[in-house]
Amino acid sequence: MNIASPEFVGQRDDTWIPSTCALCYGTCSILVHRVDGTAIKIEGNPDSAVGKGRLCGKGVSGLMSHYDPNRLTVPLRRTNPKKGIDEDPGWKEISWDEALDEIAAVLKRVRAEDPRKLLIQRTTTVLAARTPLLAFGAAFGTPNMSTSGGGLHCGNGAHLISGIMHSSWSIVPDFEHCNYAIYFGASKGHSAGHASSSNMKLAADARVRGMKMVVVDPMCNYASAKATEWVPVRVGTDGALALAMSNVMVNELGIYDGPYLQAKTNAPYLIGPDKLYVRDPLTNKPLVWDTSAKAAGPFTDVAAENMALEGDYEVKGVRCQPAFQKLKQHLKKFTPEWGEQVSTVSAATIRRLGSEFAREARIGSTIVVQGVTLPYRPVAAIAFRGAQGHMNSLYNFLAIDLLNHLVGAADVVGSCLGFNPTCTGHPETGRPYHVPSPDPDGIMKVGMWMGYHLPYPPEKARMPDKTGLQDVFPMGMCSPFLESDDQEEFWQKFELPYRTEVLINWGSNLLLSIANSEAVARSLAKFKFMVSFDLFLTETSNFADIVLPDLGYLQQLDSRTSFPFFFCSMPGGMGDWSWTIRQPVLPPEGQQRAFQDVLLELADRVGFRADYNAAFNAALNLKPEYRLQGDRSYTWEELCDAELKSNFGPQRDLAWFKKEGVISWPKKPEEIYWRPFLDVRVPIYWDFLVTVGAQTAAIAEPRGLKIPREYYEPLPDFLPCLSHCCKAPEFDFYAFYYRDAIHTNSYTMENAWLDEAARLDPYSYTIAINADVGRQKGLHNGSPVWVETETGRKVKGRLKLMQGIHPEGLGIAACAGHWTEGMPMAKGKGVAYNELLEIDWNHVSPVNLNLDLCARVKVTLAEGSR
Amino acid sequence: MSVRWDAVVKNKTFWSSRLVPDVAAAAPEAAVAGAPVEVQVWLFGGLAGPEMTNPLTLRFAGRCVLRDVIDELGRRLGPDFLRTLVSESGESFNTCRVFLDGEPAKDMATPISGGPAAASVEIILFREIEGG
Repeated sequence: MNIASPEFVGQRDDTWIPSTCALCYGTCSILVHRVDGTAIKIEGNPDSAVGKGRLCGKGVSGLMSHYDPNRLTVPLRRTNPKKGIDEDPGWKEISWDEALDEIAAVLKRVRAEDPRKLLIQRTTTVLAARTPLLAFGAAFGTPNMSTSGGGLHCGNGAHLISGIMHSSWSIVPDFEHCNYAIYFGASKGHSAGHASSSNMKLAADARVRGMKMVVVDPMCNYASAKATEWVPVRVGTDGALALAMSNVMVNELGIYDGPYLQAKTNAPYLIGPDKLYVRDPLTNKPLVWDTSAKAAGPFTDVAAENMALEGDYEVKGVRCQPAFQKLKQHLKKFTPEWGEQVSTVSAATIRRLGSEFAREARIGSTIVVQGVTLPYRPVAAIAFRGAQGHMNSLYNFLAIDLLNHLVGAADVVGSCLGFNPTCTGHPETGRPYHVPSPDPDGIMKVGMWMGYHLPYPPEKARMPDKTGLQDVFPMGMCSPFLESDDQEEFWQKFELPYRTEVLINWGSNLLLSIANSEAVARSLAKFKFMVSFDLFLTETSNFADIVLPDLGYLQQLDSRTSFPFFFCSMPGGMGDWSWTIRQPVLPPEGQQRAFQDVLLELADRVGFRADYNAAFNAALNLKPEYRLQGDRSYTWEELCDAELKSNFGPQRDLAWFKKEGVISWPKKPEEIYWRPFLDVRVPIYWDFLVTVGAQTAAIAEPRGLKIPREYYEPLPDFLPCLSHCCKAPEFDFYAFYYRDAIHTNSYTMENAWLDEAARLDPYSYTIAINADVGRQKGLHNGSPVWVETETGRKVKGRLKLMQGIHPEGLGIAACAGHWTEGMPMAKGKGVAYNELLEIDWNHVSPVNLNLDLCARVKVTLAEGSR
Repeated sequence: MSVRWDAVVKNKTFWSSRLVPDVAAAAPEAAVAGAPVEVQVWLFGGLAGPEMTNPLTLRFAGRCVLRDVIDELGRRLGPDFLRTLVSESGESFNTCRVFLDGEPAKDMATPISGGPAAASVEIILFREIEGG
């Protein structure tokens, strides 16, 4: 452990300091106990809604990450120009001035040539890094920025559909009132990530109250282990199960919330033979069939209760049907028996689950919350990384969320909640303020979003400006083309007029987090210059030309630690809003510097401080009196102070927040259960997908790239992964990875306490398969085995046999397999699942660019074992 | 089926009564109808080329709206520039952040009124895509 910080040793120092955790993106509020300059304990902060005073084992262990003797403390310059996984960079220490001179010279040249040549990567682990880097990119003028910690895997489907259907980054049950939650490849309330500590209490309380929790998952671990019922499912087929459940509800039981579908979705909109809305020729508004007038009318002119949901109609010679009629017919092919064949869940179980979900929804019921009468639908279907991490990412997630919308269980009491898309702001300032709004078709646009590339309405597909090609694929978010084997082929195909030359990396370890390291290494080696802000010499930082020693979270200052707090940190449901900060508990060690101040200095050196100030004004949404002026140099501390005063008034400046740590105020029922109060609809029928598909195909197909239109149909379907199409009998497992609750991405494997916990855990560093299947194959606990894909990629590890895994499943905890000397604790631990993954066009969703994260594999005993 | 889904809810004006006042409502009272309007346009980030004058000063004969400013920028800086700001329908992209006198502009119809000082329009693009 490092020596105590000298500035605190002169006098007795014994204090608890409010701040914010950064061991995952849950950003729980913490209290750090510092004694004589040494942080000795971390606890949850009970004054904050972010964590509600609770802290997980990772949060407690943050001391070990801070005091790790392998932390970087000086800037380093590479001396070996050759870059590769096995290349020694030949690091030499340099001064900050030398480092910044060189970086600024490169950035100045690139900005003058073409600012798009800069790519910025950041980890998802520390949310607060987002704004300074986002603003830096905007000010510099590059459209190329990405996150890699969760990287391609996190949620191209989950976030897109949560945005379009719930105006939110993600979804969660309204734990306080929900009676029946069904999870598909999700762990909200039972592991890490979004609002983790808050959700843990809420989920636990809900289970004690009697909420039935069904978990559909190939593996019985975090959520499943605490569930009322675990439903083992074949990897990647969650969407098929959900579609079969929907068929049971709509066509077998005839249970759905008609009034909700009429008033809050596009279910009554008339659909023509071209699969698009039939529109009023005068106003261009979508038409509905008015059952009272027995005529079609614009949706704005017909009372919701008179809008037909079923039937065949003719409007000005055009045969058409309401979108719900289309859906109802579409669902008929997804019989429970079909669902059983695809998912391995029995038809009887599918019927039971569909029936339970529909009946528990209590369609038509109401409840009073804090004096406000509201719709009551105490069921929720929740999905996240697992269900949507496949080729069929979009439809898998949409099919699951459709369960909620069929019974009106969306953003009302007890239901599936987006968290938290609406906020009227602090009572004294009205800030921050966010609310969804309708587009001209009445369909909901998000009120607030992580980025400015909004999920709906989708932008028109066009020739690319971004190396990720999201311009061509507007439903895409994270893109494989930043690292893929075929990136150059695709850049040429789509005539990308430049190539990225410079990479600024902030804390992400792409070699561990994306796909096979060979492909990622090739993409990294192409950069002419790379600078990496980091805590350790990671595998990825070893590809950098210059490495800069960053501050850890116990040393950092940030005024928006949980931003965008509506999505990631604030729990759903009633309670309080809280705005939290992070503040230095401990000083920098050696030559460590805050990356925010380094970026500000770089903007000065390169000559775009005025742009950076303007970008901060926009990104922080500063009130006019707090806006940064011209090209004046501000410190990071001054920016934080301006943001806090802008949001909460001049009396609540940075000094106030350093003392208090958090400001909280109560949520209102109209904010949390907002759906009935806002005149917005969500699409159960995605007509716009047809248009996007046509636009993308118009660009791609003349250039030789066939766009499979089955991915662009307006209603969800089950489309198999490549792993489902493998016929070779020896490849008899579906490999998948899961996010280990003990670890966050690849970063925490260097934490001594967490590493010890993971070594004690039977599963964290092993390969899990079904015990009966394993024994049939002559495999045993601890057997060293090779796991190999059809394409010959393989990883080695030790087996752990367990009953709680699907017989065809093979589960590995994510992001392990470090090899760098710079992280000696992490080195050699666990199994590098991502080495099994291909990264190219054939392995991504052709609609939202989600990488296919499952692989069909065979398991063989490694040499030398019995 | 005969009861509107949200008919149970009262206080339907909860959100409409809490809308953030838009810039139109905040237009200076000193504005005189028909008086010339001077607008200083600041372009930031990728919008500001090295040889570009920043700010650009635009003058309009009378009361104008933001769309007039964007159209004039398109005329001066070319169609490629315009395409980075607005869609084919003529509305600004979500990725384009426009501020009028320091306040975020609600839409292209936001009015710009003349007054003793030139109005200030700042434009910056946030085109990056993220996940996580």
